[in-house]
Amino acid sequence: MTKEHFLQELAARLHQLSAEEQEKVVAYYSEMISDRVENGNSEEAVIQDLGAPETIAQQICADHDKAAETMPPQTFSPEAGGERCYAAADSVQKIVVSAQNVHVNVRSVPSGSVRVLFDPLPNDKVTVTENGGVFTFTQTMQFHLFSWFGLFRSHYGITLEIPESFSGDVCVSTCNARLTAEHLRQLKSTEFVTDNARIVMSGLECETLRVRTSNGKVELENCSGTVCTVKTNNARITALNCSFSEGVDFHTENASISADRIISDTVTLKTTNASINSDLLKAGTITLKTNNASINATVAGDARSYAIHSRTSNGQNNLPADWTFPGQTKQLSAETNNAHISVTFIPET
Amino acid sequence: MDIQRKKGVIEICVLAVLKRGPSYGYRIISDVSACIEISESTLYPILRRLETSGCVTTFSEEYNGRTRKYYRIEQPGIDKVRAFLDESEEMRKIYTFVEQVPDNEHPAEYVEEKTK
Repeated sequence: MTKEHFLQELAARLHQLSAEEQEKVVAYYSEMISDRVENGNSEEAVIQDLGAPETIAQQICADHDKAAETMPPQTFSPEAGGERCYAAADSVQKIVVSAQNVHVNVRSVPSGSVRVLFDPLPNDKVTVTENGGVFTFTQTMQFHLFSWFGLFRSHYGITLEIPESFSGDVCVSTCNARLTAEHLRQLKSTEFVTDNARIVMSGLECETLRVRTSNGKVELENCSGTVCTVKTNNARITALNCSFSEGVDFHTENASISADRIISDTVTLKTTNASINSDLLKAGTITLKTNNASINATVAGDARSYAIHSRTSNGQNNLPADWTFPGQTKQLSAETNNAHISVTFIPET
Repeated sequence: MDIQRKKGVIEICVLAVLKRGPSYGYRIISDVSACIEISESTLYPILRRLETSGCVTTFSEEYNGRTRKYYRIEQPGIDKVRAFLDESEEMRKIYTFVEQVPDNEHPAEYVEEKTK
């Protein structure tokens, strides 16, 4: 196993720790491996000697549980009826909500504590834990009856309320049901995951925003932060008015991407068999890639400052194929086939 | 050695090593290994605890194009080493006492005789 692989495996198993703590662990092992390698050991031998990343992660997580004020997991087997409220302590730094077949809505409240509101059905099982600043709410369907019924309980959902004073990490996942979030400010790392359903985010302000679904569309509006990645397939991605200082990465398949008014250092829009449309991109590095469909974009800036690479076949292309000369600080790449490429530049305002 | 006890002892050894001056993970391990066996995975939680309890503080320095995290001992850490040494006098007495109790080859029978 290489060092990189080892550290990835390790990081992947530190879920329950805060992002800051995860970073510390990875930095520690990375430094240790480098030091031992520099002192004449082979990377492979060092990693072998350290032991399995699973075991190391387990020990570290167990140690955290012990060190923190531990609240025993509370399990509720709810009786019928009535919305319940599960609140977290004020010291919480990270919120993890995972659910199944239930839609989740995340919203901001002016004050109070982090709360989960949920009206469970008889076969739902709910577990709430709070360890070392991490509040975890897990809802599972006890018998895993995937029910078509589930699809019809649209009123039935989980609401996560986050007070404006909260500025930590948020991880929300569900499946077969939609995920929505609005007006959240000052968050650090956020992750929203579902399957077979759509994700709608509006007015989010967070350092990293990770959005992932499949067979469901993603809509982003008025979001900002440092890095944003969106991944789906067979459904389109729509983004409007988003600004991320370092990077925006949208990825889908068999569906179009439309990204209007996007500002970032690096913008990557990739799909297949569908078009990419972007009305106003402002970025240093722009990558637009699809096939069998057109690319239409408006870029803010001077065309001469972009090193341009473009390719298509069987279609018109208004960009030069390869155009570079010294002093260009920006890059634009546009690739498709069987369709046209049309990129226009407008002066930066 | 009992695992909890070993952890406590390593903690003191780490602090003792840091009394010489700030040091980083790999060097702490090599220094402490001279007296007690220690691995990376044992050291991590110990350093973390020392950091949260204020016994050590950390700072980073560039080295070979990467950052190295240094640990520096603080007053609570120095106090802890002091307390350990103060305790050692007491512990020595206890050891001497335990050693001096004469061996009885059949302690169980002795108790039975007394109760008769």
